[in-house]
Amino acid sequence: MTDEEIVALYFARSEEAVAATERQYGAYCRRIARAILLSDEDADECLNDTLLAAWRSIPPAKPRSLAAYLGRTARNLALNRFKLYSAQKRGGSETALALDELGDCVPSSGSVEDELDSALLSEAISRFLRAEPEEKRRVFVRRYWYLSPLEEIAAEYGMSRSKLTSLLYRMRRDLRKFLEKEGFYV
Amino acid sequence: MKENDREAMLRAIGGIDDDLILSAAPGEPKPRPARRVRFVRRTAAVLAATLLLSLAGVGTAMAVSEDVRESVAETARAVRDAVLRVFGHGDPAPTTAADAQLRRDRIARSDGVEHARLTELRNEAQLWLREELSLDSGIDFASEDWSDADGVYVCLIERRREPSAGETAAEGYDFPVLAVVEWTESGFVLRGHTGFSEAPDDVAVAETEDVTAVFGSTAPLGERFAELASVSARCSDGSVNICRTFGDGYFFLAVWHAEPGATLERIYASGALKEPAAVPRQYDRALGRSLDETQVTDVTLCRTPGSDTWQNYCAIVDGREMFFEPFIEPKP
Repeated sequence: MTDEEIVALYFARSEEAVAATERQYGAYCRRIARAILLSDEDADECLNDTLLAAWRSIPPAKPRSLAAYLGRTARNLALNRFKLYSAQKRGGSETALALDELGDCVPSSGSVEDELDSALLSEAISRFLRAEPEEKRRVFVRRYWYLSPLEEIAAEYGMSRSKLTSLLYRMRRDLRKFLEKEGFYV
Repeated sequence: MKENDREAMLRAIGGIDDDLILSAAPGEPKPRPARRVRFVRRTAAVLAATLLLSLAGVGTAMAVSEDVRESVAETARAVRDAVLRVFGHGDPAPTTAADAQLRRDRIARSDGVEHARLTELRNEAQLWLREELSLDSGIDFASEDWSDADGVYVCLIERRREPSAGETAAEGYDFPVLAVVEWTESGFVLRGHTGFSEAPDDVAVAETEDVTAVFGSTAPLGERFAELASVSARCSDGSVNICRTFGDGYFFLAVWHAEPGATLERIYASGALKEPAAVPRQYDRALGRSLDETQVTDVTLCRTPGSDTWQNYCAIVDGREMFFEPFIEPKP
């Protein structure tokens, strides 16, 4: 079933839309949530929340790429849940590590939360990534969008963990410089 | 850095374009090139040994008989003597720590850099390296070497980890990385490093690409390491650890204290930077048992009798050869 056909089911308010979505993208969303929450049970709950969110948001939303739309939803819901668990001191160490690494990218002397328009920042990050070689771009997205463990990324891209760590460090440093050059600082 | 800033960055990354997200979707892990790695490891080991002996002026690697231990021992002595001749380091080992320090100072002064400045530069380089390599607190600078003449700094860094059950604290060290830093007018420049690895198997495919990229090509790398070899040898006295490197990107590392009663701490043997390297391994336990209360005067590379030659090392300790386990496991 194509994305257009599934979206059409949502617009027709057919419950088959949810079943089709789960068949097509359930594993994908679950994997994203699992990487962040490190728990099968939480990932399952997150998947259910994602499906519910899709049911509630489509329509009016009409995503061009259902995978990206659902993946982003799953990621945001998982991060919300991660934040809640962090406050309760529960798990999520890989996400915490990735979060810590991202401190390198934050432009100097600025408070991202207070000062930056997140959408503009996302656009700038997209521009930065498009200027990078394909493999580096993918690796960065795998780490900081999918929050995949370093070992998993290293295995998939056939590089050592140390090389991956070094590559990501340089990219974070370059991203920070790029963002500062783009005016993302106070 | 505020927690909110990092989280906002994480969420901003969440808003990147759809195609960027989809193009990086997780896939199946690619198999590691195990067979090729094994082959290259062996090749690197053989080449490293051959190169060492060639450099030492004792002919090619194949000149050594496999079945006569005495001939190996003689060869080892010849290698040691030749290495000492080549590198101009024929002085007897210092007998006291003070003597060792004096010799370190002398070396520093003779190369036109005062010892205090050398120490300052080392400290500065360590701080810089920690940042450059994203080193955390679990990293130690196990050994360092310094070419004060041209500002090249070579250090051997280890990852400290929690000792496993049955291990002593001293054994709680992991695989080393060799970093080469150059001091320039604009500050330190990282010329290359072999990279950290979680497991010995990973070292083999390690940082070939990175190092080559950093150095620009493998030829200058070889020349660079050839230069470093002489520098390293000059620093091999006293309590200074040694880090010996050879041309064409191959290197052999040994670390020891030459103070009275000191033990030979570790031997690292590693292959090439331009090709996947042989696996560095530590030999502290074996050496610690054998060399307590022994004066270590030299360490060199040789081969031992056996069917799978060129995979063993020996140290020259008070003129005696100490043989150690293979640093590459023999493969069927």
